[in-house]
Amino acid sequence: MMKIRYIFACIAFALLMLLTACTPTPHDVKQSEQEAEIYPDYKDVTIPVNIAPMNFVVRGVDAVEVKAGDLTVRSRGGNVQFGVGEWRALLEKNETIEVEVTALKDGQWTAYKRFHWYVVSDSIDSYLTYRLIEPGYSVWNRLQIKQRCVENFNEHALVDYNLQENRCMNCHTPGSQNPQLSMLYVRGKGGGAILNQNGRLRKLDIKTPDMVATSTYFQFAPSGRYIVFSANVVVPAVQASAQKRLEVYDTESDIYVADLEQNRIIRSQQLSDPDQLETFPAFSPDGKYIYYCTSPSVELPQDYKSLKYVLARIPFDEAAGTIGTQVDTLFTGRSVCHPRVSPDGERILFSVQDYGTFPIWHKESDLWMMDLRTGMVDTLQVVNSDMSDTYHSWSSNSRWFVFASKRDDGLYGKPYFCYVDRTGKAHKPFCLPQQDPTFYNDFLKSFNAPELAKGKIPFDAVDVANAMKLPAEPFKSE
Amino acid sequence: MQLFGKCGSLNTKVLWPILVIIGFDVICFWFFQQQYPCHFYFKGQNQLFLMSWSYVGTLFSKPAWAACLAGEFLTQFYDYAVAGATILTVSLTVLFLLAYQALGSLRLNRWLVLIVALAVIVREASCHLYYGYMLSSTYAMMGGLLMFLILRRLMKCRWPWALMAVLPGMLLCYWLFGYGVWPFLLLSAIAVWRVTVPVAVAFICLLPLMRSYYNLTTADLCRYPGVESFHAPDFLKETDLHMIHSYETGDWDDVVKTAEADPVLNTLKVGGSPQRRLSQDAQVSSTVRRFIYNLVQAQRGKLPDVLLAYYPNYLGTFTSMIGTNIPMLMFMNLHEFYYAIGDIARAERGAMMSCVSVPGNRNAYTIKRLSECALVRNDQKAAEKFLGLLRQTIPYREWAENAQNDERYRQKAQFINLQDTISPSEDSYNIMMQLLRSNPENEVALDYMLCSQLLKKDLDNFKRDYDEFCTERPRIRKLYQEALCIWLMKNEATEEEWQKYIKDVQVMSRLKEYMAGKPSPRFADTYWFYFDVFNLGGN
Repeated sequence: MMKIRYIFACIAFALLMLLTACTPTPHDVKQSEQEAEIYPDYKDVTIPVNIAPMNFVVRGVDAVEVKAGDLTVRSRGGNVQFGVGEWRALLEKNETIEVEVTALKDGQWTAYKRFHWYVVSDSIDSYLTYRLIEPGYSVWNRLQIKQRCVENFNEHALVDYNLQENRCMNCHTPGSQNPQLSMLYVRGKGGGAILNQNGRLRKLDIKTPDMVATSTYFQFAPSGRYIVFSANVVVPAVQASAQKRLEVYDTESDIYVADLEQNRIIRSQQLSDPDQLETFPAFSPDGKYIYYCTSPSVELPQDYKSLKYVLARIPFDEAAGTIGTQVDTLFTGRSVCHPRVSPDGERILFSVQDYGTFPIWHKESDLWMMDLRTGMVDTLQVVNSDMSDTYHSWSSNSRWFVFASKRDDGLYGKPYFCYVDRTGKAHKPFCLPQQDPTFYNDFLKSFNAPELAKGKIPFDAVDVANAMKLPAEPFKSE
Repeated sequence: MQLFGKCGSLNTKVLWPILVIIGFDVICFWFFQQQYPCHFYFKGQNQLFLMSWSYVGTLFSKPAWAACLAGEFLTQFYDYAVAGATILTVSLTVLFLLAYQALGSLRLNRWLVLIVALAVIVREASCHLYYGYMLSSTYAMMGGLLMFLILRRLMKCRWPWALMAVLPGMLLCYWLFGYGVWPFLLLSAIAVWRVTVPVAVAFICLLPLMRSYYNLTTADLCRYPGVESFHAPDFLKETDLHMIHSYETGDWDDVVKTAEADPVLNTLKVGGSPQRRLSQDAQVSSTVRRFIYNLVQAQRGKLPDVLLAYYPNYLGTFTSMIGTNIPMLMFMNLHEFYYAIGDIARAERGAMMSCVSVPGNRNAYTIKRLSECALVRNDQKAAEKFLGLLRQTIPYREWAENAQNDERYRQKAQFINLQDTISPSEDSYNIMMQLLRSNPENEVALDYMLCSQLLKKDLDNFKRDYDEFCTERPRIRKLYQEALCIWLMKNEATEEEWQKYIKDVQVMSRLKEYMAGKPSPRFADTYWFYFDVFNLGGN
């Protein structure tokens, strides 16, 4: 027995020696004014106090030492990974963290130009949900909707293809960032909308025979009693130009409101105008307006470049469950998609593109933000990239929003977080941190339709599989 | 055990298993190497094993991570000649030895042990005849047997020790080897049924609780990473895969040679009427083979020369990627057609779709194609994404290191579609017209377009497009000349027009012969015969 203990002790000591011997420390360091080539780009970004460790990789180096505040991380290779506990302490102690990267390359240690992390006490909602899908090429396979705690690296499936007979599924959206109220769609035979109300799942058949299509884009009313949704006939078309990829347009689309208590559909002539295409509806945080995008119908596909959606709103009375008649046009400059009002009601964030209704395949697609008090529009230059930036949603405190950006490779969307301070100024966004900083290099899925929630969504993929066996609750038209 | 007994005589207990496994190995290696090698290439492509911790970490999200790690690591070498048959033979040999040892340790009749061990590997070999069966599954079974052998001595002890062997062994076995837990429990039950049976029953009852953890159905939890029933060799698919592999590796002479010697395609040779009807599977295969054969001939500028080689012929130009029930191998290779004609947007889309149609949505060959598309369109960011992945593989690393400097992609860029428009349908005519308007020298697209029209007997549009693209750059081909003859006759063309279009004297003299009598099979190589005799359809 003594002999075995002795052997174990020797092995443990040898491993310890091996580990310490393998991590080189800087010496004869050359100072450089160049910036280190790090990925993701976390240089000079504003981060919330509750974000997970901002692990990154220094590309093309043999070893690295990173000093962030009083934390020091050394590694062979370029991966820089912080422990969750020490990271949390670092953020709680500092408002500005200076980061010094010293890297070994070709036998020479170089200290690169320092950068900073600006820590703000405005927390971001702790859970992020997203769909994982290959870039939108009409055919899907093995889809998942997942939730990730942004304070650490825990990730769980909300819906999984294995448990759904490989059906198609669409975005999971919470109501007012409340994890106890959310909905998602599972498509195909026996599919339906899965509504989560305090962890109880209902299966709904929202489509009524008079609708042009099934529900596509939706948002909850602040009370949680209603959802507003668009029914879109979606047509994918391939771009001829080698420099472009897909164009997706709607040949028909209307907007409806569904009453989730009485299982009835509320409609309005203004929102189902046969000469107009109406889409991307969203309630204002006080529930008094429905914001949406609308464009006159054009001859399709030939006039697809004439599809220009304007931002509009129409009143809604939550108490009576009625849609008003007065339509206000708020923005007409470029084709508008996905309007989302901040929970404090002060700003509306939307994506703009040259034409059409599917920004994820428009390189020029950018996020713009309108101050609803003044009508001023901020083009968010510090936020946008030369690739598609869209599919955004707010954090419950209105200080953060998340969006999907294809800035890295033009194909795969990744979630980026952006801070909007109290003056309305947007700060440089940063990508969702991953435990292994090379994760995004190897990953072959897009993070689609990221949505923030204040807490953990109280169901999992098995619950959804069980809910799918329920009969769908029908809705009736008013 | 020793091969020789005390008196120097051969120990038959050892000799027979050795003879059996040697015999099996010879047959297995010979069969898979000589008769079935292209299934290995296909399986090797249908995964993307990355030499990175990040990728290895993803395997932990499901049971059987050790079996998958070993299986996928070895499967990547299927890309190399001889490697597939060697890896499979060695793996099955190890499986035999494990099964023989495990069963032998139960003190069963040695002949029974030998027969069962042989049956296990024969069954496993038959599963590998199926293109979708993974090496990981074989390693899952090997893992179960190995686990039993390791814990076997503990099982022989008193029941608390046996329980300590079976219970953690079972859990560890499931975690490492997935369905390998079943052979482990079966052997353990034979060895110590009083301990194993209650443990196994508890495991079976509790297994559905792991659905949430692994996101698998109960049935999938039981058979992960995958089990198959007995499969017979699919030589039709092997030939399809052979032609595809030769095409992908640039051995185009072999594609032509294979097609010319192929009994399935020869059935469709135009020598009058087809000799016999093809089975459903053979029809599917013939579609894939004609498609690949024509792809080669088109890029050699010979499509007009071979268009009438088969009736009906199949170009792929009327095939939609979506909404039609096209054969799986056609679906996976349509991007080859678009890449060949220079439609990079569709080639990329086809490759992406092909990539998501394989287990794990990771197909190494289509990742390579996606890199190529990005290089052709000079999209450095996208190219780097895919090349970065391929640099982490063993079979594609060298290619990925050098791809950026490959001049062929810059040349290919001259033929890409420059039109700024969209196509909601898979209208190949429009696509080829756009490509030709972007670059009239794109002869591959031109031949596909003209040949598609001729297959449809659409002579008016053929003539119109021939005039548009072959006036400045004459493309004198026997097929086109013959088709033009029909158009000229139908339109009662003047002598001047005949002289303008018909440059091939032999065509003129054969036309006179053809016109003199009834359509005869000796004119089966002419468009006139096709036009007069064959009914449309099949393309």
